[in-house]
Amino acid sequence: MIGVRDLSVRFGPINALDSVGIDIRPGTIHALAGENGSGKSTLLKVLGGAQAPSAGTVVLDGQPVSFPDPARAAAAGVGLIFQELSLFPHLSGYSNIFIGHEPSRLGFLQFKQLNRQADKLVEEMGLPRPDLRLPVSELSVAEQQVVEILKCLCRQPKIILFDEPTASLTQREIKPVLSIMKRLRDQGYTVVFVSHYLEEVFEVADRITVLRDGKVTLDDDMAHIYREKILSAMLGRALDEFYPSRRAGPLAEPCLELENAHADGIEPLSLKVRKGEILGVAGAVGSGSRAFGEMLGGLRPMRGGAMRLEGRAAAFRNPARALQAGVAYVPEDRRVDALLLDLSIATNMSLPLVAAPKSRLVGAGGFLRLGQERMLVDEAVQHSNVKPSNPRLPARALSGGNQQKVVLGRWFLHDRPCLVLNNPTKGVDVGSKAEIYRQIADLADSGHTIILISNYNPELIGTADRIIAFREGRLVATFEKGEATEDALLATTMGGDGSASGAQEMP
Amino acid sequence: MNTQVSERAGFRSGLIAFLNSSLVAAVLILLVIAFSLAAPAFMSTNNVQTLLASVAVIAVLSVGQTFVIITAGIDLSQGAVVGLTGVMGAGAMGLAPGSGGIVLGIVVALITGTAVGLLNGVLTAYTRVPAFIVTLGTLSIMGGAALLVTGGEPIYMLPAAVNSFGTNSVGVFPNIILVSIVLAVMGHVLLGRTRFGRSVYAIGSNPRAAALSGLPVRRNIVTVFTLSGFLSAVGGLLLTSYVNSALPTAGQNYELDSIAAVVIGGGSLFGGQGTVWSSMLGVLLIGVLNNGTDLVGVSSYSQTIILGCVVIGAVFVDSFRKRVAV
Repeated sequence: MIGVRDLSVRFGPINALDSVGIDIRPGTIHALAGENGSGKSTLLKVLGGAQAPSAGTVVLDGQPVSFPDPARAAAAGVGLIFQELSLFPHLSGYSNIFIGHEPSRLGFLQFKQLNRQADKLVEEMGLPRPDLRLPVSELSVAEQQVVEILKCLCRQPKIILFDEPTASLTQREIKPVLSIMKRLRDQGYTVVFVSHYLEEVFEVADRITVLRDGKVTLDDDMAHIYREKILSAMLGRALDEFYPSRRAGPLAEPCLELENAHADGIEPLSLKVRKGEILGVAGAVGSGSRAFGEMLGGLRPMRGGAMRLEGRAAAFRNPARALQAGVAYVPEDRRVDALLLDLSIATNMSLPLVAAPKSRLVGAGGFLRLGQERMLVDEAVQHSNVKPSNPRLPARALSGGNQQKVVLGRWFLHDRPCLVLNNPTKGVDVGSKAEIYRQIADLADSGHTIILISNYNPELIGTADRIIAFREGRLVATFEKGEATEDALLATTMGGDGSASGAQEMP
Repeated sequence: MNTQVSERAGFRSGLIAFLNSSLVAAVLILLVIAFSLAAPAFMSTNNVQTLLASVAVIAVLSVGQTFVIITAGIDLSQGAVVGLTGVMGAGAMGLAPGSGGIVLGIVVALITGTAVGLLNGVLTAYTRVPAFIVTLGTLSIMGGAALLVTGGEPIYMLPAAVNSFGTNSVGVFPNIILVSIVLAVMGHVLLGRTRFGRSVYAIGSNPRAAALSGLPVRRNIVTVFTLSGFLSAVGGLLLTSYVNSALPTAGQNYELDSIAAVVIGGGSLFGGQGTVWSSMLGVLLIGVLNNGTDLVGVSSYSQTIILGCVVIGAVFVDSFRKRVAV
């Protein structure tokens, strides 16, 4: 049995954890949930020796213990699997599994012995079998996850800690990871995992602890738990008005018109999107929903057909052309594709406006109007409710939700009639999600056309005026407002009875 | 709690930004004081002129190198371009008499340097060959070309006006450092106050994000390398006028000093960080170290050891700065 007593972790003035006490029973799956910054990952790290407590103790089998580092925790039988995979991309799966404690004879590694040991482990656990001879960079993220688990298991832990094990997986890949967790429990391991996804908590957990602002707000067996109970424990309030009501509906005028438009990965499709309309785009990963957005944003060249934007013929060779014509594409992975992490919030926010031809921030000779830039950025930071609100801070210093507000805030500064948003609330905490939905609704109310691509169907149902669904590169269904249900969307996007659903992000 | 955090973070990042630029300045001032105490000749007009003239070429190169490094690139060909443009310019000056020859020489040198920069830029932006390899290649190519066109011989017999420009001063400021200062100020303004400068930072920080924001990423990379090539040609001309001759190998290893200066000033080889002003502090630091250690009798062999330690030390401090900053 592992647990913590009166545990506090302070980072400067912030109490990441505040007198937390929990017990984790052996042979169970225990979920840790909470918004970003609630302390759930910190708690996991303390258990795994990756974070030293400021006060309080970790208790293992009735004895107070202290783990100065993950290696010491591993020696005591507690294995920690990090959120960011910590594998060496150029080494083989086998090498990664045994790195750090390879059996050797006279300093030579016993490769055959190693590989046999790993294979035995795979077989015993009934794990899906990635090709462990390949460099792990050639494996899928889900397969890398298996390597990561094997690496942990070969150190013979009793307790396995997972930090957001499914965060970087597609819906299809989540299921196997969850069944691995169940199998581990059935073999007598104790599993603790941090999760953003309510559905997977319900699917595998035996008990849940919810944290909010470093304190435990809910700690109970799953038998007593229902969805709203978890959400209100996370938020500290009921979840009414999560999806905003619209002040105005779509206008009559069309903004974007497609006629037999197609590109690599998308079959010809015809479509009219009106001004002030939020068009939801549903589809599993690889279904064409993302490719559709990239075609509109100028990232994926159109192979044929016609596109008109506000009545003018349009075909975009690159994002710059799309922006000029009036379509802004907001990518899914903000850290990789959208943000200048080391540059200031201000520079991040004003960038598209600075880049625009005939920009009001750029004077003769390409000189920037710095005073005006400061003013506009201050306004946008306020409007988008970015916290902390100091525009000189580097974007790296912000939480995921606030980073996304910065990315969306760009288009308040550089007003484009049509915005293509690819999963804008992915990896964003619940509070910021509500604010982002509000901003999207405000943009539509003011006449903007929003193309909202999402893998999370409830948010499409909650926000969109109309939903189109993609499967295998084809537009397979259109749902008018009020027509779409989660079941129907799932069935349409999965192309079957919908039973192939993975976990969905909460809420 | 949130506002408290933001104020602290804001204050801290401000403090770090200040320390970051002025740490080099503080070290520089300390060195100047130490050397003037150890060697009274250090602050003499004559020595100050010598010191400033000795860093003029590196200063011009560092302006270009700053732009390149902020885009996360590197220009290793600068020294070779200095040598090549020096001999091309000097050679062309002999083709016509008087000031016509001088103008011809300047134009030939600048066109040559700009063309090499353009080549570097196009190869870096439009192929998958990294800047390090592209410019390592052109370093070798242009170094060889300079030897080929001269047959390995130096070019003397330059117009008298060229050398008198290169060796005269306005007060303590040699003419050639005045050229560097003007170019550095222009570079600083270009980088800090124009759309182009902002694009350079954005591209170095995240080229994909820059492209999605509508910036012409490749074109800007070409421009940055072209600028570096042009400035290397200016460096070649300044060096030629200063030493009153053109040697095909005159610029050897100059690129290492310009990279060192940018890095000492806080430029990051990963891109997105650096300013022309702080690179100039790096240039002065290198110049003062070389000149001062000379005066106090440190052998030139030891000088390169000291410079190496300073470069590593500067990046060490810089990496520490990043760990505490965010």
